[in-house]
Amino acid sequence: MERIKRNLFYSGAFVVLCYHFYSHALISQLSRPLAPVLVFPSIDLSYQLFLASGLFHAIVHGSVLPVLHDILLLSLPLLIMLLPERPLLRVVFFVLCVFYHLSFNTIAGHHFHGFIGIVFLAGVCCFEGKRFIFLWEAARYYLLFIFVSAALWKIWRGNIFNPNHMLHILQSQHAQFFFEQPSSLHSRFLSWLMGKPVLTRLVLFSGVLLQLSFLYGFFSRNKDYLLLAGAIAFVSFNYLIMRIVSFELLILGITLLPDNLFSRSKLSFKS
Amino acid sequence: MYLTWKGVECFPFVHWGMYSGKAQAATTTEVLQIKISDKKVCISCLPDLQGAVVNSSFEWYYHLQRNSLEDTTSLVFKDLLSKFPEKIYQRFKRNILNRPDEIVKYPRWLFTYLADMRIIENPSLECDIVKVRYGKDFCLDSIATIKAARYQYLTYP
Repeated sequence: MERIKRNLFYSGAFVVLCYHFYSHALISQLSRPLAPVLVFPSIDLSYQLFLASGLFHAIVHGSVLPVLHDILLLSLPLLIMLLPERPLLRVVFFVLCVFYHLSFNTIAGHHFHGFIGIVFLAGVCCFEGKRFIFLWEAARYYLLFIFVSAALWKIWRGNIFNPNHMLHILQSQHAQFFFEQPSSLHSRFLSWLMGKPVLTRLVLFSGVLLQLSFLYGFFSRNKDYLLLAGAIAFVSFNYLIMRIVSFELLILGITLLPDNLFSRSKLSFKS
Repeated sequence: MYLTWKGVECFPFVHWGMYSGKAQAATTTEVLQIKISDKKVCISCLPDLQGAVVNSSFEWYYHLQRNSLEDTTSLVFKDLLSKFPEKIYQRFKRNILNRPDEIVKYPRWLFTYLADMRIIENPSLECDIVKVRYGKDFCLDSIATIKAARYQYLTYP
């Protein structure tokens, strides 16, 4: 069961990394032919220490190292699945994921959180036996925490009760898109949505309610399949309404899959 | 939980409160317009992550430019790392803060990051901030254009 869970994670990680490659977002693509000139550690102490260590500059400003880093990052998930008895590969993959996550955000000029699911699960997969089971469970709680925390922040700050809150978010979020592609089908849909104040508020409230529903997962596991469907729906609507691609976070969704599903897979695999 | 409550970010303890802050009325807002070789680059057509890199890194560059090329991270940096011995502190400073001579190279980096997928006739980059206003049916009208960055590719770097 542990191995199937791992393989599921590494397959997902490989897909996500291929998407990063397609998006020109891997280290070698960001640093060739010219190494990035700006760094953005912001107020995050971890980023400041990461930059202070000199590791970022040593690798990103190198000529061969960024390419080597990306080749390893892309090939390790496949290698790990082929050679599951080599735990060192899993540790190397985890270290590379942390490095990539910090480096990408340092270069991008904003600290994006989408890749954090890969980083967490890569860490979990470094362990075996009881520790793996415990940390896999912890990753599930972290996914629940992400959604519930996002909902509680919106309620606590009270801005969702402002009738124009969602409209202002949409105006600010889509200005670039409307400016460049005013006649596309998606921008026409968004303009239509923004013209319906009641509907925009309903969209916001539905989103917050959906996020809040993940609270149930803290008390019971018996509706995890519904929470997984909720996470997929959230990610889909996040793209439709906000044009934010957040499918990377769905990797944590595999912790919501019931254990008996993995047991059945194992049986059918044996037979 | 404590760090989330405090609104502090320190990887891996990140803050998930996006879009919870007060959204200002954005009837007038700013968008980025990039031209390479006198042709407009459609930033919203780029793959999601690439578009995010272009927008966010430019925003950071523009902020530094308006701050007279002085890195505002230094305000936090001094508090956190000034307790280290002077030699180490200077080394940290060199690695963490953006130097003015590096900041001015940003347009060249942006050009090379975007231009490798285009056929270049006149190797040049123009970045403008366009002030826009939402009109009827949420159509955008340009109000003003501010020149933000220029780069002319003369020799291969």
